[in-house]
Amino acid sequence: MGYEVQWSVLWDQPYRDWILEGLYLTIEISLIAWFFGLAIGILVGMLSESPRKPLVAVSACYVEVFRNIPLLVQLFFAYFVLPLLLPLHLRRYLYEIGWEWGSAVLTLSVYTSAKVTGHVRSGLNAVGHGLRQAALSTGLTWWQMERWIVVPLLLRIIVPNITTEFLTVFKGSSLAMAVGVMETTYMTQRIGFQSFRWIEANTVGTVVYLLLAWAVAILMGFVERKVRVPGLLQSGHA
Amino acid sequence: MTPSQLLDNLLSLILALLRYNVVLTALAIVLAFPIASLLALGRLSRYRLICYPIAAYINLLRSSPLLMVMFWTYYTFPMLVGGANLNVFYAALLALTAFEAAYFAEFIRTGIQSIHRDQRLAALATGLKPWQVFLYVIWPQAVHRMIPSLLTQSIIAFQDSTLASIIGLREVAQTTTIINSVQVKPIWMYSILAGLYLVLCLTLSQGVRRIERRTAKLLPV
Repeated sequence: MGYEVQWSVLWDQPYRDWILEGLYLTIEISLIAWFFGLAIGILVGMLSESPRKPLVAVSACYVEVFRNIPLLVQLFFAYFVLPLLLPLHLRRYLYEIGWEWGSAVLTLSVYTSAKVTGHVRSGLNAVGHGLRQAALSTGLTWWQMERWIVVPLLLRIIVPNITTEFLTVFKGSSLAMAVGVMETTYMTQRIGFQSFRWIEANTVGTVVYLLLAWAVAILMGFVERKVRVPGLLQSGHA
Repeated sequence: MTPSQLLDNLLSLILALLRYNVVLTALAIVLAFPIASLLALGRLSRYRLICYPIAAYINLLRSSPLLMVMFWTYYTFPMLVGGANLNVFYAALLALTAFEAAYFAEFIRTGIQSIHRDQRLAALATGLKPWQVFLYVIWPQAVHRMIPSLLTQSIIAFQDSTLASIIGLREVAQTTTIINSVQVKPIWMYSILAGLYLVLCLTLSQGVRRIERRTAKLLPV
């Protein structure tokens, strides 16, 4: 034994700055990925409303491909392979701006968007056929029905699922350390190796993710109460 | 890459996948399932001394990344028990088991709560003891209802087993990186890795979907 926990270690430099830098990167990557994941996911999900069969198939394939390949493998693919497929000057540019960060954001966005697409597709089912027919029979055009009836309802229906994905995105951002992004998990390991204060380092890392999860839960709980569709049974995300 | 080289590399990856990822995931699922059943039962206990710590455990594990859990089991716990080194495979197994147990527990709890309480009362009325009611009446139905969710989570666990490469297990993702560092064929190697996982997980998830349809039809009242 003989291990004495010293929390004050975490307050010493450079560890304090490492923790804060890590936290900043975790939040930055997650928020960007969540935003793009949501935007792309909703767009690709809406493709399944299209009357054109190939577009519906594209939307279905998108979900299957990105959901069935592990996030880490997708990240390796984006980091190691994607630049090689680009012309040389573009590749140089990518490495200059720091492709670790870029590949992590790209992978996490696409991965999240595939999951959101899945939720949008099942949400569209939940909107129901009757409502669509009712909308059309009032004289709305197909586009007006989508714009004013289906999409607003859909967005409210999928909020609980989006909360879940928001929580997942923070956890997923920890994988970025595998390509060298210095986010929270990376910094935890760095402090651990540097100081051999593993217990303190791991505790602070775990607490960071716990607090982020709480923040998301509180924020989204507020949103969920605001936008809940009255009379519609909503499945929680327990 | 020549065809024979391609075949060689494919075989190495499949071997690594079977030897580490499949074994790791299978053991983790088998170990996590009974633990999760107990956790779910404890989570629903009316004694706060049992219910609160278990709820805390489940929420803690569900909000931390698996990688963080692996850091605990690989770097940190060995220090607590006198600096003994834990084999990286067992560290990964411990982390994955603890992690999946928390997720499974929530699914099983949802299943238990979906069983109508009259069933419990009826079972008690026939003279069964409370533990018999749980073991023979409630639990089997709860698990039956949640089989699709549990299987989907198991597929995610199989995908997550690649994270063990980060703490240094020579599973399939790390094997890919090692082969690539010798042969320098990133496009080939990472495509094979992605393709392998895509084919396997797609097949598995299609299977789950079929089971899901059947379960939905058989759902007891």
